[in-house]
Amino acid sequence: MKINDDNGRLVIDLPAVLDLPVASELRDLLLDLASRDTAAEIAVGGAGVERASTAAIQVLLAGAQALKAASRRLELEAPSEPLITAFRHLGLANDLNRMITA
Amino acid sequence: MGKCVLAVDDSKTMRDMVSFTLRGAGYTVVEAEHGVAALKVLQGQKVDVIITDVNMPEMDGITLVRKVRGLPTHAGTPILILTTESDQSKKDEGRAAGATGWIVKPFSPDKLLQIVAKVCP
Amino acid sequence: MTDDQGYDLSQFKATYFEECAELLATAEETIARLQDGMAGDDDLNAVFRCVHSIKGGAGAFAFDDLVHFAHVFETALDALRSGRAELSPQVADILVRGTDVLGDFVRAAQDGSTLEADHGSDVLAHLNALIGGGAPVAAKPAAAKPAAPAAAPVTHAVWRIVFTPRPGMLRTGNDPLLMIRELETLGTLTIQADTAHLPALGDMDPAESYLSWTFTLVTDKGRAAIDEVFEFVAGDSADVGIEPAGEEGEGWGLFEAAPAAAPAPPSGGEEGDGWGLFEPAPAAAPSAAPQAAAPKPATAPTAAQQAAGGGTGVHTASIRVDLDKIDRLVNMVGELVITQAMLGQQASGFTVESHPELIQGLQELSHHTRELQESVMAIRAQPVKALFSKAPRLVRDLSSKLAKQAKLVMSGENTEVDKTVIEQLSDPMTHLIRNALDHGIETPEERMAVGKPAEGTIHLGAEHRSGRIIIEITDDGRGINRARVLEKAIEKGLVERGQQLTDEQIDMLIFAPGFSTAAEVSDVSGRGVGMDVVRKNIQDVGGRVVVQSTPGAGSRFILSLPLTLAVMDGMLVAVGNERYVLPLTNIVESFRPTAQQARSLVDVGDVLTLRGQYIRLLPLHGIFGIRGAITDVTRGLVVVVETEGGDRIGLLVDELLGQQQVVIKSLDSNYRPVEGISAATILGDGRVALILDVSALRHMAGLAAEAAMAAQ
Repeated sequence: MKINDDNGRLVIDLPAVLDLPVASELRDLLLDLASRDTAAEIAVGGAGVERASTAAIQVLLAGAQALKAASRRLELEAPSEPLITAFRHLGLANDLNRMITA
Repeated sequence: MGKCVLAVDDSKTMRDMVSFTLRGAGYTVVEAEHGVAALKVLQGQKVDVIITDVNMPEMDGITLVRKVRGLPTHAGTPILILTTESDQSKKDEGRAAGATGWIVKPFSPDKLLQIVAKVCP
Repeated sequence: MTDDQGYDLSQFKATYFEECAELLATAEETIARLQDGMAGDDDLNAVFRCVHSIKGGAGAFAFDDLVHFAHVFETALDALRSGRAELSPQVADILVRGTDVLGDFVRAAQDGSTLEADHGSDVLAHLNALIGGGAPVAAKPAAAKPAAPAAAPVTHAVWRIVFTPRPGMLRTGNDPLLMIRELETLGTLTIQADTAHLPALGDMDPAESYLSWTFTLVTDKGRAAIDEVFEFVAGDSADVGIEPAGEEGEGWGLFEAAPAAAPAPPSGGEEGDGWGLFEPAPAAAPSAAPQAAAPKPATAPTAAQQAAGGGTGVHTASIRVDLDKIDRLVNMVGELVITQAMLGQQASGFTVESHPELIQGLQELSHHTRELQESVMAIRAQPVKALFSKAPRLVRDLSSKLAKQAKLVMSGENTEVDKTVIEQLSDPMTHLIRNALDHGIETPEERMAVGKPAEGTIHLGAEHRSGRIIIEITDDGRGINRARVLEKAIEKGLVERGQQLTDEQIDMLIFAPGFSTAAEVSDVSGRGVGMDVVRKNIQDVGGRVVVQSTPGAGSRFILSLPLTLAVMDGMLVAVGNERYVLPLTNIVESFRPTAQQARSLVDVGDVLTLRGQYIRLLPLHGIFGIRGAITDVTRGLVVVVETEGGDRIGLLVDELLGQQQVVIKSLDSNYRPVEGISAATILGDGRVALILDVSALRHMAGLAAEAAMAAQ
């Protein structure tokens, strides 16, 4: 995983499997982004996710909160069906909606 | 794609049984005959579930569980330990080491499939 | 991962909204009558039930706003109904407006839109005023438990599950997603997450668990099924509280809610199943203690059960279907299973790497085919009660006719089995009960003379055992008179005089064709129809009958039949160029013996030692005369199989080819009965494979051993 600069937007594309190590890496990347002094939009690409995990979704939630605290927003782009299902199963459909829609 | 299961047991019969049952249900199975061999497998590839015997030469199952939990790549991988009815203490040791669950030998193919499906992410 | 549940849920939703439309219409009409002052108590009840039904479904789908409004509305209606508030024209107007607002909420839920936060708040205030001095209902959390419609069938229960993982749970590979996925398969699940303990990103250890959940589960499965979901974590890695959730504290006294699923004891010790995890430490027992107020486990709705026209009567969620249609479905599914197996075989040369979509598609096909099949089979499954219900009268009538005294004890009446199997069981069961009364149970005088109670006992039991249904008919009568049976058999030329038979073999003679044990054929057991017909009927459907008898103490007839006559899970084995199918339920294990394990005992034949026990070895190639098969035990594979009786034998085969579901084709009707073979099947490649009858093989192994002994 890495942070891509897409015309001024900072994008992290999630891998297919969001296991514990990925959750850990994602946390570090989001921390990095949250600490940057930038107004750039921050997005996480969820199209390629085949298997989500509670650990990774916790990190996404905390990441969204961290950015919100800095009056910025974490956007989840094109979440895959498994990722949507995982949010729904964890009772976090509303949190997902907030991350998807502007 | 079929989920990949690592079956660790020094008994070929047991490995065959596990492999056979799981392959029949669409899993990919990798076998290892003890903990050391299992760790070698895990260095080369990621697996989705690990099923391991407890008493094995070279490295026993409990040590294996502990070592796997220390591997960054498999920190949260489900691990099922194979125990016998009488060996209560091994279950506790397994839990303490970070195992996900256990299966008591002998088990039916259905039971095995049911439990693997239960923990398979 | 396919998301079958989501699919089901959306299907449910469509039904729910259709019903909502009808319920709203009914409510509107009824309230119009109330406005005209032409209404009676029943009308208020009807409106109440409409609103209640809408609320119940909304709870199941977590339409929280809708639940909240419906709850207040319904409580107000209850106040009116019970006379705590008075129905004036003004109140009737409020009810009209309430129905309108309820409709708004339903539509919002239907198209996923959000109403303004204060939508309907004026009506809500009026309704709350009607409720009056009661508890501030509006303050009740919106995530109300799904409620029960009055008089709904008592099949579903509502459970509230509070699930709090301990920090280290994720590290043991127990992801809440897995448990929630499993919970969702049990019924309709409402999920509420508590994210309050989520730390700041910088303070977070991603491998620790910070969330907790409250689930509301509407299920017809029992407590044990829920316990099983959390079995790996409860008490050790997580705190799990499971309790029946009802409409506690609201005290309407409306629901005749029989506790559909009484809370079972906490899951802790249930380990007999051969798996599980780490029983809970006593200190951390799940907080499952029922509340002091003893909330009733409410009967709860599925949308489908909240039948339209709420309040117009009891609706049972079933329809009658012509059996022919089901049979056609069963046959087609059978063919589908064959086609699916064939596709699987054709694709066996492809790997996941080269054809990922094909392999995945085939796996899904296999999965769905199996589910389809199980669902279809479940349609035909019926409790054996229908069969057993004939027995009491039979025993009563026969006892008086024979001047005997007998009582009938039954067990396992709710054991389910395929309808066709039930039909096949009827005659044999009747015959065996007759036989027990006629030949087994003695006259009261005879019984008292030998110190037995005058009244004999016949026990009729059913149970599932290793994928088959077992029907046992036991009497405490005189048992089989072996001397007389043997004499008769010799007389009939079935056995040669001087032939040595075991007790078991003598007992089995009563099933020999044309055998009749009664000294005079009585009109009760019938003339000419003997035990041979019973055995033939049972064998025709892949079953077996055995008898165990103790002279003076009684006899036990054990009928064993497959649960369904259409399909089974089998293991395909190769012997030379032949393929055989072993029923999976019989297989214990397989292994390749070492030379030390294989040996020949002079009086028994080939045996294997396995973990210090002897197992009789039966080479399949020898039994069926197959050339080109592996004859060296240490080069082949031995499959250890177990019979219903618990005996184990080892079958020598060349190799195991794979597990698959096979469609059973009767050999008897297509060819002729073959010893050691129960039926045949058609494999994916179109070849016919024979399905092995393990009990018959064991019997043959026994005979072979005896022959060996005789040859000594």
